[in-house]
Amino acid sequence: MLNFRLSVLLFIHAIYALTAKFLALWRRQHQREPLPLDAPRSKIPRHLAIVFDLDSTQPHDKIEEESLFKSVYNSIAWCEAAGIEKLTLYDYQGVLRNGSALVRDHLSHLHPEIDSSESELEYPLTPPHSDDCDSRSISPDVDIRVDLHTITLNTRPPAPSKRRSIARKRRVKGTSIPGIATFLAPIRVDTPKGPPSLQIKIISHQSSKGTLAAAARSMAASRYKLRSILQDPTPQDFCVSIEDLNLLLEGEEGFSSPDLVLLHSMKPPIAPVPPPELLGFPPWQIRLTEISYFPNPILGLGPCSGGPQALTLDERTFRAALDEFSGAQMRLGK
Amino acid sequence: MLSYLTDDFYNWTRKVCRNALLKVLAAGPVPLHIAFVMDGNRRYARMNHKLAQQGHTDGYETLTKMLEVCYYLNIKCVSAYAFSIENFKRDPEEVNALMRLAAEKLEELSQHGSLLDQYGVRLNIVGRKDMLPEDVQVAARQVEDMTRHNSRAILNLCMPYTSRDEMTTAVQSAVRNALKSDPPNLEITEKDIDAEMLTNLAGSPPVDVLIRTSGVKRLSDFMLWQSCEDTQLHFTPTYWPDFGLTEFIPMILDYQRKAWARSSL
Repeated sequence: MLNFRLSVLLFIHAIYALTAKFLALWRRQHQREPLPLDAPRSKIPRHLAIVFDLDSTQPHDKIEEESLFKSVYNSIAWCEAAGIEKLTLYDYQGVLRNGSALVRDHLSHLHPEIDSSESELEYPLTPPHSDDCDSRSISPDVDIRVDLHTITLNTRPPAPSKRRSIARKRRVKGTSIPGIATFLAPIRVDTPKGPPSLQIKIISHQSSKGTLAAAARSMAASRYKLRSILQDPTPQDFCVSIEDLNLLLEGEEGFSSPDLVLLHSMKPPIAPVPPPELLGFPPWQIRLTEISYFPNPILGLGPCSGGPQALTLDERTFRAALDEFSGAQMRLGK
Repeated sequence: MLSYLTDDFYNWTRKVCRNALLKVLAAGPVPLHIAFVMDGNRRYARMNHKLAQQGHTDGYETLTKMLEVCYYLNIKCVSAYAFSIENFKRDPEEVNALMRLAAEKLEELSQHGSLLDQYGVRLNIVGRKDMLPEDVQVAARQVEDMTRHNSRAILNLCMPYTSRDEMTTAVQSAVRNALKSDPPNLEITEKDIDAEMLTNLAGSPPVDVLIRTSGVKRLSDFMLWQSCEDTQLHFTPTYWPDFGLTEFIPMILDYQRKAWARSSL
């Protein structure tokens, strides 16, 4: 009986796959041309994140890496053209993080005035305070910080005189995670005029759930140190609020929530296209983010061909994501 | 009289066909945990010239129907976003109506012979229960106590819930546990936080599929921690009260393709 049911199920799957292919072809024929990059839209995302879904079943080959970085370089140009202020680039495995030097070189080439020096920096964050609890959770004298494992690059040319003064190195023992490779190109200073600024953050799975654990470790350590000062408070006195955590994770130099996340698959196209997944994108920062997913074009009814062109993020998809975002309504619970 | 018989026959045939189809689907792998964001009740009501309250009542009917489908498919756990902490910002009249509906339906669920009884479902209210009105809290406690020993399936009703609130509470609990241990073990890991998530405290498996209706493509502070890694996300334009097998079956087929692809690796 089970074999019979399984056979029927496989038949349903075959019908489903065929229908999905035809539907994908039909949609491709009938889809509307998205607006140009710089077209006036009712709203554009200030902060865009792109999640690249790499083919983890295969070792990363040259074609995939070429397509990945080509997609990144194109995205930078499109963001600048569309007036997007922040671009976050994510892949689970950290291929982009490891190859961040390539992105930096590309930016140096695009904007020769940018300082491309590299430094390991950790930016201090405001110590959290809790308004919700009777007891004070964390003393303002204690530094609490979380390494978010982000690499930040900026396309805006820095003011030469102030550049170094921003790059303060403040590392705290016990709170940083080994393997940190954080560097910040000089951030927004008083540059009077110039091309619109685009801040680029490169992150990987390391910036995901682990950062909440790092925040917890950091808070536990500071609380432990304070035991003697605060007349041995009991563990039950420890309180943390959403605002506290938000300051740590999204504070001035933290990683803010994107307005729009575009999921791009680098896998060879198949039909039916699998539903989107967030692939470990930081959970704290995805609360109200619009999620855009445009499946890869189906190239034909036969076996789908790959190749770098098929894997690279195309401008049409990027523009379609902007169009979709401009039409989205935000109700915020109301 | 004849029309009653015809209707009965039609309904009976429909149910037989539906159950046969579900049995076929259950021959393949099924998700362990499905989460629903039941969005679009009010827009459905507006579209059908009904009161917002009626939209929510119709939405509850859909939830009952989908729970039956899920448990028939042997899906171990279903989570439903019933009320966000942010929803308290809505018109007080609508909030009161929603709370009355919650109290009424929770009482209904606690009756013998209810859906929970029939399928051996344990009900958990996930979220800031202390923010609920007293009568809803009483009804919630009653149904939670009554179903505590049910072990065949789980229903998490998330109300009033936001994921950031859940993550913050989990971090707070993990820090307290670390400080309480003797000697203090301050090396809090992702697993320690995960263990403190409300859904995990309630014994729920990882979320395999998250479904949001009404065409909105965001998570709106729901299960962010649970669904950011290995969860298939479905955003369907259908309003929640209209959601049914036509939308649901392709989602199960998609999950099965993923499960088969993974097992063939």
